[in-house]
Amino acid sequence: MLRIRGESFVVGWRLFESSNKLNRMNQSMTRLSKLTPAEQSTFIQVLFGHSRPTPVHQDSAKLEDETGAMEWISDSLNDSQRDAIRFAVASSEIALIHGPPGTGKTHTLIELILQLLKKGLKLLVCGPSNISVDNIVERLANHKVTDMVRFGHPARLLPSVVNHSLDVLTKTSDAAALVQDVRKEMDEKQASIRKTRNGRERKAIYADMRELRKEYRERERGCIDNLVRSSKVVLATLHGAGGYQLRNSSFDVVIIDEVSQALEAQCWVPLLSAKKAILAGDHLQLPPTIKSVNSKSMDVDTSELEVTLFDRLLELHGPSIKRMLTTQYRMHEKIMRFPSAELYESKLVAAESVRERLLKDLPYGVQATDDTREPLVFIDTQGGDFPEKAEDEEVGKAGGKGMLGDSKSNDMEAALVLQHVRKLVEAGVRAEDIGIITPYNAQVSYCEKVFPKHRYGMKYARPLTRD
Amino acid sequence: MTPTDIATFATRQLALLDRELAAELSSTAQLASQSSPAALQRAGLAILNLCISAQRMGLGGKTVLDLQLDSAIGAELPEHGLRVGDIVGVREQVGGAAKRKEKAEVEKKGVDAVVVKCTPAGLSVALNQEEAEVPAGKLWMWVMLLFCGMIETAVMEADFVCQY
Repeated sequence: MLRIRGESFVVGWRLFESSNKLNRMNQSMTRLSKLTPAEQSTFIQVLFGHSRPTPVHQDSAKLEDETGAMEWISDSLNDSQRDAIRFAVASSEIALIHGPPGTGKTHTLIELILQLLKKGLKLLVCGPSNISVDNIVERLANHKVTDMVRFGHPARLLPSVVNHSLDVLTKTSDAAALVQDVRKEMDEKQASIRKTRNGRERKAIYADMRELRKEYRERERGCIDNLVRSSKVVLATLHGAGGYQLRNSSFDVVIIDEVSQALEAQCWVPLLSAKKAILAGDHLQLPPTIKSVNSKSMDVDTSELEVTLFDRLLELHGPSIKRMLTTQYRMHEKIMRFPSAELYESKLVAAESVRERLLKDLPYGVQATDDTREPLVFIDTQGGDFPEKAEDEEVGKAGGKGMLGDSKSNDMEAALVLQHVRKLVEAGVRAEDIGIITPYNAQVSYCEKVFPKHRYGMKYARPLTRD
Repeated sequence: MTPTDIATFATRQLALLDRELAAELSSTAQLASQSSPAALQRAGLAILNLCISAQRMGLGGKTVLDLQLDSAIGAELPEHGLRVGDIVGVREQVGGAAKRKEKAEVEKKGVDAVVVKCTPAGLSVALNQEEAEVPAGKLWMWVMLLFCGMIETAVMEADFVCQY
């Protein structure tokens, strides 16, 4: 059973006990607050500025001399990526890898993981979301890394990811046969509930199942312990890393991807037992969403929660603990110019392959028109001819400016988009190569209605609005 | 470099996290109580007209339900914002004309669950309660807590695997 944390709130007519959502974070923070100075590892002292990180050569050439030549597994790494990997391997407590969009951050992390594995280190790799973790599992699987376990529920249902998930490993590994027997018996019992005629029969079945469940868990636990002990890389979401199976395991290096999208407290779930951490992220993108910041009823300013671990460490130890990846492989130079100048001190460089990439150069032959010759087109809709529609009258009446009231659609803008898509398709761009992104769910549904034929290429984004 | 006192830092974080939880809980509760299921679906926060296609035992002895769209409605789920890790409520669908008492009855029979798998054709959810009777008939589900807010359900998700 889930532990209950005390708060309860009413959803509809029902009392829904808020479970221990925050427990992992709270547990970690509580443990942190109670550490006696003797229990504080050098790692923890460095993370709070009580001692300085062991210095690493700032000059990349000297660092290379010191660490010796590395045998690169991937031959497509650029200089800033190699430098970041060398730095992360050489650092003793903490290394930050700053990866702006499209700079191959995950690619770099994969190489880094492979390099650390070559040294025989045991790794825990975490990300704030299931998707971020699955991406890494998938790529490691491509490199034939087999000794890995993915904790939690994969969000991407690729065989390469799912086959390494705990769920599947407890079915397929050697120790799993015992677990399987019980599982099968329970499934049969479960199915038989439907055939019961009265409450007494059902009750008997439930009693049997309770026993079976207990048995099942015991066997499963043994099986999982084995798996964790024998694997070289464990992957989990930040919260997943707080599960009891990992509580007594220790790891040589903890790697956190997308660290700037996580709360610092989340990061401490895997970090408490770490000796060294490598954090990858981009602190210049949006921080995690904090809902209580704009809430008037709050007596305390919670915006402090938006300060991520990445930000705090940079502030604490300065840029010498960070390496930035500078070559981006996603955007045309013109698209890149604005974010690079505004956020990244104009340090970004567009890779050769994308610097002048245009629609008209697509390999399957696209005509050069005004629309395919430009990397970036703005369409001005100011002037009041494009009224927005709040999606739902009913919500409007209720007066709540909640998440629903915010969902808007704009049929005139959708018509413009449709027109533009048509022009692109006429010029020869394939419909499946066109993506349409809108922050509002109402607009997504509207677009779906008007572009039935161009549906394939459409991406759906959950409304993630920030006022 | 000014060292941060570890205990002070951690205590402060705990206090802030507490506020954040309270804010999140109240906003979701408000949302669900103010809107009709259809409005929630349009906002991508609910899916209507579901039925159970399979029921089995998942990791940790949890009951897992596979849900798909009622074949009378269509084969593919409508565009929605439910993701793996979201906590959802699964209830029998009742018409607007249903009496208050009937609604309460349905509510009592409903289950809470975590989304564990998401495909265009259907969703799988792991049930929160251990020995719940699964609601029958035409179902709908809505998001109780979104995963996209950072604090939210990540722990729950992990609990379904880890907590015995």
